[in-house]
Amino acid sequence: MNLTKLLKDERIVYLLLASLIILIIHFVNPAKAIIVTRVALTTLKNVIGIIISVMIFIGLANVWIKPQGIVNVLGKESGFKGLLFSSVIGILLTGPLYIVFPLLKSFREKGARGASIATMITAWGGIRLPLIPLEVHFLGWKFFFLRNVLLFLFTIPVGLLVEKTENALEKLKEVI
Amino acid sequence: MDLTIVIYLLLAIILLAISSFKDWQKTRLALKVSVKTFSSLFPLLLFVFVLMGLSQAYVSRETIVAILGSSNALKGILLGAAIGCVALIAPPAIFPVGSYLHQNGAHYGAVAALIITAILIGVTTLPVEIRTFGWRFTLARNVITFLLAIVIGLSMWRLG
Repeated sequence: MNLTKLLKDERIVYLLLASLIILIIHFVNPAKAIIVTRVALTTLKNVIGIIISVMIFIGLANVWIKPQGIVNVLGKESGFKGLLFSSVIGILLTGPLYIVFPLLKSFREKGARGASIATMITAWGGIRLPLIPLEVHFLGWKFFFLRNVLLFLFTIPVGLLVEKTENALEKLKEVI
Repeated sequence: MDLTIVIYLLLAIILLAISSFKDWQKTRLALKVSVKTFSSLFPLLLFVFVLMGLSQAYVSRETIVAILGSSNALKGILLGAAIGCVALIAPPAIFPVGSYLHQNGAHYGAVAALIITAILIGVTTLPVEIRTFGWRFTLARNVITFLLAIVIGLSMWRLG
């Protein structure tokens, strides 16, 4: 078995580290090792159902929600309506960073304003639809509701501020 | 099993059924994505759960209260936001961490700030963001997002 190739797999590294931690504690203090293992297994048992349903939501969102089409419409919308649209699209975007960033980049190259891109990134990263069950389970409805509503309300102000700051930095360069 | 978990699983099964009724090929693809995401995420979650056990066994509640507790709301929120920036934790795993911190004395404002910076600012993704959108955009977005985390943290710390 090629060890370096094995260690390149993030998953193997995590599993090795987890076992290593428990093993070391077991030698130092067996009673504490039991606590660690019990906490880990109880947490796992409590959330495995949620994890499985969340994985199914992620898979389905991945094939059924294709925002590229909507994104093309966005170019025609301007002003506040366009930004509101950006925020909603951001929430609907569920892919990982290496898919979402290139998509937004292509959109920027087609003429989308900076505020629109920053609004979408904030909504995409901050509000994760398929992860709702996890957030509600671990932190409760009240926390989930407040955090997500506040974040949604701030997506557009954040977008506008980013655009303004970016432009100011651009100007600063010319001055210097 | 918790009733809410049963509801989530039922909802997942119903959506899967609707999906396969509409387009079986797409549904197969969706399940492939699910399995792939699960296999890449599961070891990380297991590792995070072991870390939670580790801190349960070794980090005292007093320490967490001192760092993220409500005696000084703003300090807790600032530290929470700062920790979130460097926390190399995938979004699904950040919620159990937040819950653990709250149960051990961190106030909700600090937890919210930590979660927001953890999912919106990542030191590891900075190079990708700079390459994609330029350093001015990246600098502006990350600084403003950090401020956003503090504002939302401050609005939520009275929650408990």
